[in-house]
Amino acid sequence: MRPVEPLLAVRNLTIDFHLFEGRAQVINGIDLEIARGESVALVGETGCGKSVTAKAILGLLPPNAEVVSGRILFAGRDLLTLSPGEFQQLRGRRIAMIFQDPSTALNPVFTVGEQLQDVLLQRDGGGRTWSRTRARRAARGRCVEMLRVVRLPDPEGSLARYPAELSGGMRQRVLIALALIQNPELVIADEPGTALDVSIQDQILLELRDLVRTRGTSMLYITHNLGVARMVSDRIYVMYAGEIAEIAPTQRLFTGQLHPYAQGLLAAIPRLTGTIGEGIEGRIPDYVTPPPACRFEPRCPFRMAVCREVRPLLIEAEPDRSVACHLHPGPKT
Amino acid sequence: MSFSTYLLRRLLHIIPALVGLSVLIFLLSRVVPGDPARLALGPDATPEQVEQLRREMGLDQPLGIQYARYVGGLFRGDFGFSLRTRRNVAQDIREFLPATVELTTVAMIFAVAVGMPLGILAAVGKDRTADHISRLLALGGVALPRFWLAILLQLLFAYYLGILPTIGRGPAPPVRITGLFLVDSLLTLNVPAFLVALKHIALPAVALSLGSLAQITRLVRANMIEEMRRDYALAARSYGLPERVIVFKYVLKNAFSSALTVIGLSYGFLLGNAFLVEAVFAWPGLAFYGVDSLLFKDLNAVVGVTIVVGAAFAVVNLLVDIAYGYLDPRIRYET
Amino acid sequence: MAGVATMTRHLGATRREEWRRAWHRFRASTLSLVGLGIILLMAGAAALAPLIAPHPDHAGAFVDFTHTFRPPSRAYLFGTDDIGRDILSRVIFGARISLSIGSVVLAIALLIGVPLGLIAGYWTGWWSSLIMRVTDVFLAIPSIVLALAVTAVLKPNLTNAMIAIAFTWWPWYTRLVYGEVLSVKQEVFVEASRSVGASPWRVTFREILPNIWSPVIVKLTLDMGFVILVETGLSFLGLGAQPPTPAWGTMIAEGRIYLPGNWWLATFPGLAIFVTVLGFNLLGDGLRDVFDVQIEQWRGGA
Repeated sequence: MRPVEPLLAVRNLTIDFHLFEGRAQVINGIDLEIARGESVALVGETGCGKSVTAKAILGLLPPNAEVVSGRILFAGRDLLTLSPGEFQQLRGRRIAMIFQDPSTALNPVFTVGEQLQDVLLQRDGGGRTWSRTRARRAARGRCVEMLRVVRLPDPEGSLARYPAELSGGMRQRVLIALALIQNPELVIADEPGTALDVSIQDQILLELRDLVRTRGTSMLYITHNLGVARMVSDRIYVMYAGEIAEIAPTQRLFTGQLHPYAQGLLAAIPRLTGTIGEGIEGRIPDYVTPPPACRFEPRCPFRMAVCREVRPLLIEAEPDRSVACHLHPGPKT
Repeated sequence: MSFSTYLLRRLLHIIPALVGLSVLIFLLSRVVPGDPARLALGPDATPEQVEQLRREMGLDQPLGIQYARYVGGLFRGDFGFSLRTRRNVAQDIREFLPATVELTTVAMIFAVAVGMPLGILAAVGKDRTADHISRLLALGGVALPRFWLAILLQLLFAYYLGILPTIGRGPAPPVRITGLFLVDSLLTLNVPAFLVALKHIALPAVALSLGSLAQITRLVRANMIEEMRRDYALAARSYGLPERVIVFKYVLKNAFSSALTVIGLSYGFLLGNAFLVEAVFAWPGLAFYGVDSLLFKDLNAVVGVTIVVGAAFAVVNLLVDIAYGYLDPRIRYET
Repeated sequence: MAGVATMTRHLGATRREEWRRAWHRFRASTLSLVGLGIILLMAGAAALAPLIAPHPDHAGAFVDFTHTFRPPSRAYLFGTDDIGRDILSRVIFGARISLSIGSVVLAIALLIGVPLGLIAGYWTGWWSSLIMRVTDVFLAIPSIVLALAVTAVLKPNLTNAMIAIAFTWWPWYTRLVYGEVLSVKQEVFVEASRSVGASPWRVTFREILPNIWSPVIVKLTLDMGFVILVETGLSFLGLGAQPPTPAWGTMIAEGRIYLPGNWWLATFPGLAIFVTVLGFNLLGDGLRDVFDVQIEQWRGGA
């Protein structure tokens, strides 16, 4: 029992996509919780629905997506009941997102300074131009400060630069600045740094981790990379094919995994010593006609007959660890 | 690279093309089957008269020298002699050019002023009524033969409704500064003259503009929709920026620059169609003059008109490139 | 190289699947189907003109002064003109003229433009620059103007109009193909093919060409409409088809004198042009929508 209410609580969220081929059941009843100040990683391979989850939290789903059921509780309020106007008030100020690809997430025809100031100033609503210019000058100081905080070299000068003039790493820092400048309570980082060189990615991730820790911001890291998750998160959610397979505190996940998929993920990591990591056979299922019960069953080395008939539900197998697998049936009632 | 270097590179691109164009047209004009001199003088001319005219026109010289003489003349502003009007082609061009400049400019302005908002409306209200209307308009505009539309407009507005003049440009304002009636009358604050000129230019300009209007609407709509799907638009939304700002500030600027290239290309079709529209409305412009010269086989005039049109097209494209480079910094830094 | 072979086979299988999906998508768009319908109708009319025109002989030299200026009626659906010819029949034969000119012009433009574009795109060097410079020259003025200039040189008739338009049209295809080749050249599978030692010819035809034909097809469809507009424009000015040929443009020019009273002379040919060009535009747009998505899926990697 958690004494304090979590900042973000996703309950039994189900999302379908209307595709040409039919209805794709992309998110199949997931639960997610993030406490205040906590950093959580949502790990899974490409196509498992992690980004969709993130977009759902922000209300940025594409038009052909349909939230079939579930709730997304943020500080007690169900985000799915919000009007578009209310949602827009929320975005950026209380929940923000750091996008994946710094080369496409920044508007190419405006300078860094303009983009930062626009985000900062829109809080006060559009004013008349002259009062805006004064407000702009005041905001400028804050923008420079923010750029300094994200360790962008030459923060003053960068304000006047266009994204095209900056390197990938610098652009990623600008994206972080844009997300954090309004001091949101929850930040979602979508595959942060995957578009960059590994060394720069590591550096930025560590800086980001320390940054949010000092500010007490809750983080949701979306990644396919277990190494990243290990570096930055307190708890890890392992996601597969639109469902949560396992939840564990970070260190404990790496010492032992409960769900076969999580085991496979860890075995797949190439190590410097020993043999080449083994991959997991097979591919993610077709969401239009998914497996009827356990979605991992076709690929699972431990599959049993029950796995094709009954869907395994998430149960707390150990204190603070949950898994959705028939191998861990949970306490008998 | 800096902006001026970018400009210089664009300029250097155009000049060889224009030179090549002049060579091409010149060659064409000199390979006429039949003898231009004889054509000009008519069938009763004596061989000596024909020969004399040929010598005067320099047609007996080798092609290379003819071209060199022609280009030399160009630099002096001499486009040769028109066998039809019996004047210097340069004079003719100077007389007829303003009318065409005025017509095409007004048509272009109209196309942009109506096409752009329509395209934006269509993109923002995608798949709703505004979108469908604008798409229908766009389709119609592209498919309608300009000269037929001109005739229909004439029929409707000039004949049946009687509110606009059928043909012609109307009287020139008393003071001639630029040769553009609208501008001249405005500059001299002569409102009645302005209105008269406006009434005369209305139908030809609208008929001419419809094709470009359609193209611009379609492109602005497509660009806006595409840009609105991009990551930066999604990111902007995620920071809480209101939709209005995103559409009109962020997306528009991006979409505008790609729309600009269409404007440049559109102008080409506009110029081309001017030849048809001017014919229908008897608009005394360069195109009208050109068509008459064509039918008469007045080759110096044809060459002159073609080169002027090519130069105009090049100038417009250069202006578009300038605007493009100004609006989209990526061009400057990534080229 | 087993890798490339399996990749090609896999790509081939997905390509077939893409085709099916593309056809589905095309079918879903009503406008595209309307366009296709219009074109089939026009093409059919053009092909079967002597059979379906009520008065096929009116399309040539024919006079009947007893039936001049009849307004549209049961007997003459589009009315008759100043020398008693049935306008409907002439419009049908006009379809034949416009469509055949369009086809010939575009065939020439394809045959000249595409190979030049392929060469300029694939082999860099002074060949390529030369071709592109020449293309630039032709594109430096609007097509109509250049076509007009060329007709000034030749005798005004339909064949020469066709030559003039073809003369101005091929550079568009060179430029289009050039751009496409440049972008496809960067693709991995081309490099893969070259690294295996495939000859430039093989690379061009087997790897590059199949990937660039979709924008060419789209452009061809749209261009049919535009070529018809140019051809009718030239005929209207008197530089294309000469009377008594029932080209739509010429008919409008002839009928124009009798406006506003005998409106049917100039109106129906214009309507025919509009509908035909509209058909090609609708079809071309539909194709573009279908292929663009395909291209994106194809190249964006999945």
